[in-house]
Amino acid sequence: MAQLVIRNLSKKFHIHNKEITALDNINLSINEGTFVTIVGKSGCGKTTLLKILCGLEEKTYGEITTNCKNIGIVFQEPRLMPWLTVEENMQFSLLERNHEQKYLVEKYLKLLDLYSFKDAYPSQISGGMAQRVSLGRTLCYNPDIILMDEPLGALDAFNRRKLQKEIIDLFLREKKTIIFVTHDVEEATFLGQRIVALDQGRMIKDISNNLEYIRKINDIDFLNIKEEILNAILRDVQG
Amino acid sequence: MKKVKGFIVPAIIFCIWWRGSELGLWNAYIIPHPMKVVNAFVILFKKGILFKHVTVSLYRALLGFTISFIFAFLLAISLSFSKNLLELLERILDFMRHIPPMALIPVLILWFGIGEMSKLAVIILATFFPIFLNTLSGIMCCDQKLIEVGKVFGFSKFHIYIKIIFPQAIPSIMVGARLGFGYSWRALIGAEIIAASSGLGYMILDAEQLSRPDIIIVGIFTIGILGSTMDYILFKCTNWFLHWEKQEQRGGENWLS
Repeated sequence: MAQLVIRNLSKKFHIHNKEITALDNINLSINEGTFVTIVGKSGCGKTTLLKILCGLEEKTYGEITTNCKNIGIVFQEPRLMPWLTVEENMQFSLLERNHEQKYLVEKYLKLLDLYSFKDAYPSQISGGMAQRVSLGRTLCYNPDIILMDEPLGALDAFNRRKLQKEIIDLFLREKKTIIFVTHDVEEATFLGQRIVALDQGRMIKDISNNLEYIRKINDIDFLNIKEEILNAILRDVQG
Repeated sequence: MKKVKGFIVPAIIFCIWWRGSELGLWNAYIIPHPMKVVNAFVILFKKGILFKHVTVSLYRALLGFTISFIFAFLLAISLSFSKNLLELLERILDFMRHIPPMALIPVLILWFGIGEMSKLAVIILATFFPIFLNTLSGIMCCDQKLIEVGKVFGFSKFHIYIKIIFPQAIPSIMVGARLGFGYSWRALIGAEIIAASSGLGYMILDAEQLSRPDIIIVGIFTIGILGSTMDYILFKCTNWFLHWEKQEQRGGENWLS
């Protein structure tokens, strides 16, 4: 059953009396427990789409229907509160602190390998760790859909691959719907069960990726899917 | 080593002062011998005169600072909530900000007399703007990206204020408080020189009329030492409040490295 349905979604910005179309007639139906990756070049409207989905941006036209209560987002930057410790940042979304929520925070601290750093401040941890705290904070919010806006964009290749695997682990364990935005086609293919390509605000490709987790990036099927998306984006650019 | 370094220049000045006085390089009336100043200090201390003046001045400075802090803080918070109110008061506050409190002393004496009220008013006026402006800018310049985090988690405006905007404004508020206290101390001495019967400012003015430069120097040193001590205490309080920022400024001790 579709958990999130987007119909004819458009977003226009007005900059210096000039109309800029960030999203143009997007139609997307996402089922519960699906890992969707949205891939495209910078400025193709990926982040705008996520911002509309989590309520940070108003849509210009279209309709979004969902049956979920909470939508959480992991931003491009960790956006941690510098005056709070790792543990306090994880609890940040929880306005009430009861036993159950305390357990939840501890569970994610352990799951994300952050327990021994729970008393550290954001300035004392590495970028990869800060992004894990950000992910943990969103998980503690217990969202039905997790939006991820290029959360690994600023990390080095090693931390990036490590966190990609951790996100897959989390997805397989929690079975939450994830909408992951990236400009990296390989990352989109590595993570997504469904890959949506955007260009200039339009949806240009929507394909399923049924390869088994954890995927091998040199596998022929993996390379074929990657090539298919890459070609779609390049064709659109040239055309 | 850093602490010792800070005392090198004062020690050199003191040596020049001592040696110059012994050699009679300057008139003893203009700059008295250090021993004469020390003697004056001992006498003022033993008789309790210095303590009395210090207590009065500190009381005035702290009371004025506290009243000013409350007013400035509440006004900054109110203005941050209402853009209309901010626009309404912006011009008048900007006008007031540029008037030195010392220029208002004659009017304040006229309105409040030469009692405590006029001195408190001078301190409040001197302290108000650094606290007000720093608090307001701390609140208004809050990182929008952090506010977005609160919005995504469905926080109400109240929770965004309490959990994000206010904690982020604390460093700026503390800077305002430190600046404000420094200003209150300076304004207080100015007010006491003009209209007072007690306090360190009065002690200096009285010594001038009695031709006692040694007491004037005792007064100046006391003001400087007390000001520095109070600033140090506020600095320590700021550090206690902002332990996380201190680590950030230091670049943090990256636990991974």
